[in-house]
Amino acid sequence: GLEHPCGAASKGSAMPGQRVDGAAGQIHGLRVWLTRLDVLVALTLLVTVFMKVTVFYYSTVLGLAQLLRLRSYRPLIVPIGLIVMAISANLYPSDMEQVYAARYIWPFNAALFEIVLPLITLISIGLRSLFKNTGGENE
Amino acid sequence: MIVFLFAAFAALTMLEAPGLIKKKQWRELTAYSVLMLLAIVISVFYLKHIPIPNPVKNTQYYVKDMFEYLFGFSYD
Repeated sequence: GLEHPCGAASKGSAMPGQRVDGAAGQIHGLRVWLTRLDVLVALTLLVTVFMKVTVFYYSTVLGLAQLLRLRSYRPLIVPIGLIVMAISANLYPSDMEQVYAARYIWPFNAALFEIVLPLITLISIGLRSLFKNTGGENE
Repeated sequence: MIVFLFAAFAALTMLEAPGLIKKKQWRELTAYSVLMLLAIVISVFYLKHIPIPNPVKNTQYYVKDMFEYLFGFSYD
């Protein structure tokens, strides 16, 4: 049969198919309900990470296409995806190394790309709009 | 495994390259070929267990050294 979601602790009191009356039955139902909530956490993680990776993928492909002055970014989708898959497969040997790097290495490493470079871009855009001659004879 | 890899890459190229040739987009075709070759090389290296330069492993050392140099203590 199926394994009980609450584990071995509640096996003596009530089996999954068995009906339990009274307060004990309510607590038992609550425990089963709470145990099955981790599907929601997994689903949320899946959806949000999918959105994040989609945005990164699109910006990578579009940026490379604009950098190479291509007419369309479509030919780059498949090769970039294959390169990402091949590199991500041997980026971390184990799961714990990924957790360690995300905790201790990545914040300092990402400060360059997520704080310094966007700030420089923002300041340069502000300076360009400051010195741009809007509505002049050059346009 | 290598045979399946090359078969997959050949199928993808046969799906995409004729359209680019027909539309005479030589610049796109060049970019596609170069990136596809890079993907093939990295995939073969991964299948043959040949170590390729790992950005995570290399940045760990300079991040740790930089932290120790800037703040005077190591967090590890």
